[in-house]
Amino acid sequence: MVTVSKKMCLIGDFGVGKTSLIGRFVDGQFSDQYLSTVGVKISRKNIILSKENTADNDLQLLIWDLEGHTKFKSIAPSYLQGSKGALVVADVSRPETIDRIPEHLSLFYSVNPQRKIIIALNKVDLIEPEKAAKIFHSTQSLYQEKVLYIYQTSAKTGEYVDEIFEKLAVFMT
Amino acid sequence: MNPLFLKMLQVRGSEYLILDQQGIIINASLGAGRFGDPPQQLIVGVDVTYLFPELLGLEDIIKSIWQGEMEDFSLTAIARILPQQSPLYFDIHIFANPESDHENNKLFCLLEDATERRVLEQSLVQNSNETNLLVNVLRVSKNYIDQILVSMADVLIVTNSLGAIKTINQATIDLFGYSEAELVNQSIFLIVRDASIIPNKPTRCQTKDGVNLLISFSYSTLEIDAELPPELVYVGRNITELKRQQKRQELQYVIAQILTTTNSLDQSVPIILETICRHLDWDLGELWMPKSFDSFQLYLVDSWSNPELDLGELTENQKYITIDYNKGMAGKVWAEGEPDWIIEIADETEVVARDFLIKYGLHSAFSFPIIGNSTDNKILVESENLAIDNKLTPTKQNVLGVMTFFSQNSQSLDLDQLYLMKSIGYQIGQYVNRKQTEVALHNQQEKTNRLLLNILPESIATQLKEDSKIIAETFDDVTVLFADLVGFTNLSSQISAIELVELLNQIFSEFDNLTEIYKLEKIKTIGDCYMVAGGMPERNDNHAASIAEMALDMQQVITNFNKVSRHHLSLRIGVNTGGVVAGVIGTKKFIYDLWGDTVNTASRMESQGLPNIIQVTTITYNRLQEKYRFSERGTITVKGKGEIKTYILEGRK
Repeated sequence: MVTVSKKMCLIGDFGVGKTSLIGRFVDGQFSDQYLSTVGVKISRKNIILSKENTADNDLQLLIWDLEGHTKFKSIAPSYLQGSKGALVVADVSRPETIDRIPEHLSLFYSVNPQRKIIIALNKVDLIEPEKAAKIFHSTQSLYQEKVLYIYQTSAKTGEYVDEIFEKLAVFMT
Repeated sequence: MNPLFLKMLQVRGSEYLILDQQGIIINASLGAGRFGDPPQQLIVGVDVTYLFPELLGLEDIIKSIWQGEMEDFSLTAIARILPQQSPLYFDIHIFANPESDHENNKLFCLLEDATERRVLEQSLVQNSNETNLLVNVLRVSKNYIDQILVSMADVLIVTNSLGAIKTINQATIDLFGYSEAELVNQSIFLIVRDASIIPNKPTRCQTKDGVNLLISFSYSTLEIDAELPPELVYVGRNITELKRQQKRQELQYVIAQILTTTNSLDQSVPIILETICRHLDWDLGELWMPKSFDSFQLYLVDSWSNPELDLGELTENQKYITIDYNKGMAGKVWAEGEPDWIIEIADETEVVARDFLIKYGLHSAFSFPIIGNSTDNKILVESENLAIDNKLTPTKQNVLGVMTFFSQNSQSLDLDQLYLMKSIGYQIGQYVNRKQTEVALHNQQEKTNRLLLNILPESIATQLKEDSKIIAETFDDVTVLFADLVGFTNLSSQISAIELVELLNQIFSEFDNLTEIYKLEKIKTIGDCYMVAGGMPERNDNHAASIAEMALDMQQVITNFNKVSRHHLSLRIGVNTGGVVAGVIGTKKFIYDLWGDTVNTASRMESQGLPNIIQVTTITYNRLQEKYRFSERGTITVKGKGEIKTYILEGRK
């Protein structure tokens, strides 16, 4: 059995819930309190990948929690070096964070041209299901071709949190 | 390693690692292990990626530096956050050791502690981001509230305690036509026209364009600052249309009431004009009518003006104006029989007395026809044989007049009101027709009454009108006089029949006057004989004296007549007093007459009398002898009575 380590990044505007998604995935915990991330914080998580036609293998995910984009400070490309995939996170209750998804996509692709991105429309617990569905469809029609998947997630309820990390891990080779 | 260089690193709190080509730490400063994840003391011989996972995935970069293709690579602000420990931040700079004399220890990692700076930065970013998120939440909730206010159909006005407007919503702007800038800081009484605002009662307001509105306001106080008096939040609903409909219904009812309770057009018109003005907010109301049916000009019949405005001179002026058929608004309404509306008089050219109206600040006007019953008028046209141009006749026949109203406030075209007024115009037209018919009927009745009274005593006429059965009444005490014109028969051979009748009419008319004076009842004339009675149908005690006066005056009438006409006429008069039966016989050409012995004897007194003599019976004589002079005539034979004694009335004592 060989343990392989793979780097993935979480990219998005400040306060969209990148740290919370990692907290939910890695530690199974969630806090409503906002704590802004400065610089980068790396978390490790070992998972077992089940792939068709191959033996199960352990994978160590190195999850880079990057400081969120603000109008004063953009995300430094150097952090994205060597990343095999990325989760682009947006907050469904703040339309401007959804509007900035293409910037994050092109930033990541400029460093890593392989299209290994999943979009997480986070905080779906805060809005009406009808509105969430509407946002999901409009996001899908805009970015479907550019990313692997688009999910509606909630770090608070855990909805589709494990899925986004595990799905991305499968595609990171 | 250069000792000076190491000293410098130590002073700055920085640590270093030297790596071999496989990434194994072959040398490190003493405290370098504290930056590891997890931190540990002994790090020499450990794979650098085990302690510094940040370097995983950077294999290509590290190789480039090793080979000298790339100068260096840095990762800044790497966080080490462990539970129950203060965070640690550091920067990694990777470069080839320029002093290395050995291929194997060429790669140098400088680890610089950045905790102090990054913790500070974290708190700044935290603050800034939290503020940002809060502002966002506020903006969303403000948008939400704004959206509610914008979509609110009701007017929302917030004022300070003195009534200066602070905030308004879109509905206020839309309704009153003022921009936000024009209203904010202005008094609320810029739009409110009443002296005060009473909650939930109609409040008169006015738009920028001068249109009057009725708004029902509710208000609540809003305490912003404990130091300051509270602000007032007004929420107003536009009830103009609702009230307008109520007023229209009320108006219809009131007009119907006026039309049923007043007796004449003169009486009802001022009330109608005032009622319409007050209910529909017009300042001046006028009724214009042609003076006669075939006239082509309208005259002012009556007008009412708002006493709060001084329009006296204007209304005075209107009295001397005539409006031609099909000229101006009223003339057109007259010609076409349809109502009309002018929003702005100044914008119209064809308005009668336009400058005068503008001078008195009147802006809007409307006019509607008073339409009568067409068939009645057609009969009138035929009966009066009017030659009116056929093209004009159909409406002119029906339109009896035109009502015109003016207002100082600009009033936008209100079709509902116009239709209502058209129907009221019909009502008034019907009323006018009815009153005209009533007047005609009344005149007819007057005529009939006069005719009837010529034949019958008034009390008998009244009884007859009420009950047309035979009336016969017994009177115990009346005086009856017969007078015959002596010489009249001879005269008939000398003058023509017409002259004869004229002459007779002249004399009998004078006698008629005397009956009026002495309150006697003329019964009839038979040829040249005149019959009159006293003491009936209204009973009285001095009928004998009245008859005596009448008889003496009749003689005087003849004397005067002879003097003037040079004819030689004389009167033979007979009088008697007693009981009679009086009544009307027949249903056609009926006549009030007297019967009985008393009547026969009176007739006998005349027929057996002498010219210029008034012959009376003893009964009459007994009644009059104290006040009148008599002489005895002697006895005469009366059929059925034998011999009776008679007297001659000679004069007053």
